[in-house]
Amino acid sequence: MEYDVIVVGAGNAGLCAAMSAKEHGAKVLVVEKAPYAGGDGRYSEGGLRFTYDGPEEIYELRGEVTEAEKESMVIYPSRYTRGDYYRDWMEVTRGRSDSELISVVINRSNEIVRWLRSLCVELDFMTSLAFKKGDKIYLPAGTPLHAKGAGEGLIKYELNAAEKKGIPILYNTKVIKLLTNEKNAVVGVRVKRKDGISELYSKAVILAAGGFQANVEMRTKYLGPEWALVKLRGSRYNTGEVLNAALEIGAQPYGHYSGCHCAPIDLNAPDYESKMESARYSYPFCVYVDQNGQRFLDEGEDFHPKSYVKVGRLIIEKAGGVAYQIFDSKVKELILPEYERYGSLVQANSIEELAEILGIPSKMLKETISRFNQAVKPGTFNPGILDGKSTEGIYPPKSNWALTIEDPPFIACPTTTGITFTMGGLRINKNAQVLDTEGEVIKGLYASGIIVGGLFYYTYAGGCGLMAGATFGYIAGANAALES
Amino acid sequence: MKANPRSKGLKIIVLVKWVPSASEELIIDESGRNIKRAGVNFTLNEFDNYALEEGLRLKEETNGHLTAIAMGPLEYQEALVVALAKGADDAIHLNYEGEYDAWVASEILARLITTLEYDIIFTGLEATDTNEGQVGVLVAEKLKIPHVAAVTKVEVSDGKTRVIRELGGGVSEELEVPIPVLFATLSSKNPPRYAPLMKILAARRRGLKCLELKDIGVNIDAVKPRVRIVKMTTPERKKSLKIISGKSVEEQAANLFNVLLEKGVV
Repeated sequence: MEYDVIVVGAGNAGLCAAMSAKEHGAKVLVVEKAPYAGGDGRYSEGGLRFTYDGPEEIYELRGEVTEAEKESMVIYPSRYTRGDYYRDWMEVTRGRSDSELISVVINRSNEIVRWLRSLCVELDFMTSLAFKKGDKIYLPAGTPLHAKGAGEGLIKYELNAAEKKGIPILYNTKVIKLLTNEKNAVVGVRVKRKDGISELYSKAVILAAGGFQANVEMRTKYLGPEWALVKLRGSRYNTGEVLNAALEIGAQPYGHYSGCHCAPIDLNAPDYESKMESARYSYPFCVYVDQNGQRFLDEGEDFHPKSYVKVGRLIIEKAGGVAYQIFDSKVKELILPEYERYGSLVQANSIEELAEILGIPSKMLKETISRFNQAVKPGTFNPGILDGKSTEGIYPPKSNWALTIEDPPFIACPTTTGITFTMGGLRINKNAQVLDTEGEVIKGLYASGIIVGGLFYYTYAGGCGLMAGATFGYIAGANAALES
Repeated sequence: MKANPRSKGLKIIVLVKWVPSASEELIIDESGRNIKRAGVNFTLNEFDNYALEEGLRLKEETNGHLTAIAMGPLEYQEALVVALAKGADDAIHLNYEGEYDAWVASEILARLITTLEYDIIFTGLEATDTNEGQVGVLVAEKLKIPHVAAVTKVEVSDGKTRVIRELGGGVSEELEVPIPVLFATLSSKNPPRYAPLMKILAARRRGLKCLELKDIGVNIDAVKPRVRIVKMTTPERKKSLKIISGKSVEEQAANLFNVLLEKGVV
């Protein structure tokens, strides 16, 4: 037998699994379908949601923090307990997440972030998704830090660390079948490479191959026909065949199979791998209208890390796939700099003119904006907190940050939905072992990352995905190494 | 803070626990000293439901304030979500993953409660998972306040409480107890209210305060449990099946009747 542990997928979850297995004494091989590493994590913002005791701990993990930075970076909440983390996770998944699995991630999040740091993964303030107001930078709630250089940075650091550990990665290697013995224990994988089909044997296999978001057939089948033509934010390679290979040997499907993670993205973004620069997250300060010029959601329901998935979903389900964010000059400085990409931003001195350029009914848009303006309640606008400055008497309401749209120039950004990952996957236990449809462990089979189901339902809180992938990757690697 | 006797604006605390649902089949884990929690449905402890109902009724009648508290692993937050959905004003979760007995639980809870204002503390008579009924008594002792168990109804006037508690055999007694006080609740005047799904979803969005033991100055190593679970067992099942035979329906019925008669059922 050539390897102790084979890891399928060289994204964040897979690389963490491989490094952990190696640290625990296993001989490891990583197989990756794409010609390069990174999976979907590469296209993420690299955010990690973990518990922390106070700003000092964040400063320590980031390193080399100046007094000026301490002054300007607002870390909110100043402390993030396990209970806070659990509450925030369950809030957005409506209490459906597997409490045992998410408790594992939450309880070990701080330890795993420190493990990543020990592997020379550099962390930085997540200013890219922060609100900037005056000289203060309000870092995203619960995720003040991300990997330096975002998703690409995270993968670069993890690849460097894996290389230092001497972990081989076979690229352009697609797993087409899981090999099992007479007891249905997994003993290896059948792979397809340019030069043909071969079999690789190991004592344990860790599946970290991501979701099926890049597979139009599975998207249509599981998410519904309206998701067939959606743009992909991340990797074009996550097409679900490894998930299917596991289901084929009796692994238990688990989680929100009709659910996915998505986001509002620029209408003119490329069809895949547009990364974070296509995201259009300044919507809490806009009025969001559909192609008929009518509002269709609560733009100010929550901070964007907690609400953007829902917004992406509503653009598909309520606005028919295209919607426009409308701002006025009052909030111009709050519009994130990525909006400049793709040249999609439209500016006009009147609402009529804006409607004309966007090609939406001018009368309807004027009426929507005027009704909205009348509904805005007085109060103090504060983008750093849920300010409660809301509307009254319109549906849907705007629950926070409701400012009138009346000061020209008016700015609009056309948006659509980009899918990030799917939520249906395999059932694992707290040891990251894959369970069969009877709830029994499939010997030799582990999973981590987005191929795991039961963690996310409806939506998710930013930074939980990479954190769960790293945590169960670490656990899978450690336990798989024990099989050898 | 000192407890504040009053009849209006009562400050009420309800201690709640998240327990395996009665319909669940429980499996002992590898340690042999605990149950497997994965895949088991949990629910708000039945007696806590009554405690919460009595608390909510008094809060509403006196225009008071109700804080629900749960101590235990992260998933115990779910009990507080239910409490908030039913009308609790706020909720505090004390995260503790470790093993504990009633002594440790009461020590921790009493420590937290001393930081809060309260007139009446409600607990359930007992938790249906441990069936001990000790935490309420011990909390009251540690707070040095009176406590009454098996309470079925509470009325408050002139800074005093009149409570009905159930004795054995359907007999009950009425007591007058000063405030502050702790009641271990057996049932409530009104049936426990329903927590609608929309209110549960809304409750998840409302401030649930999440504390760790160190936040209330508890050094868990200094609080030694008095009881250690040595072994847990599930009830033995005696399976027996008897097929009642007979040539006709009448004969089968007669044979069945004889079996029931033998067993003393009829």
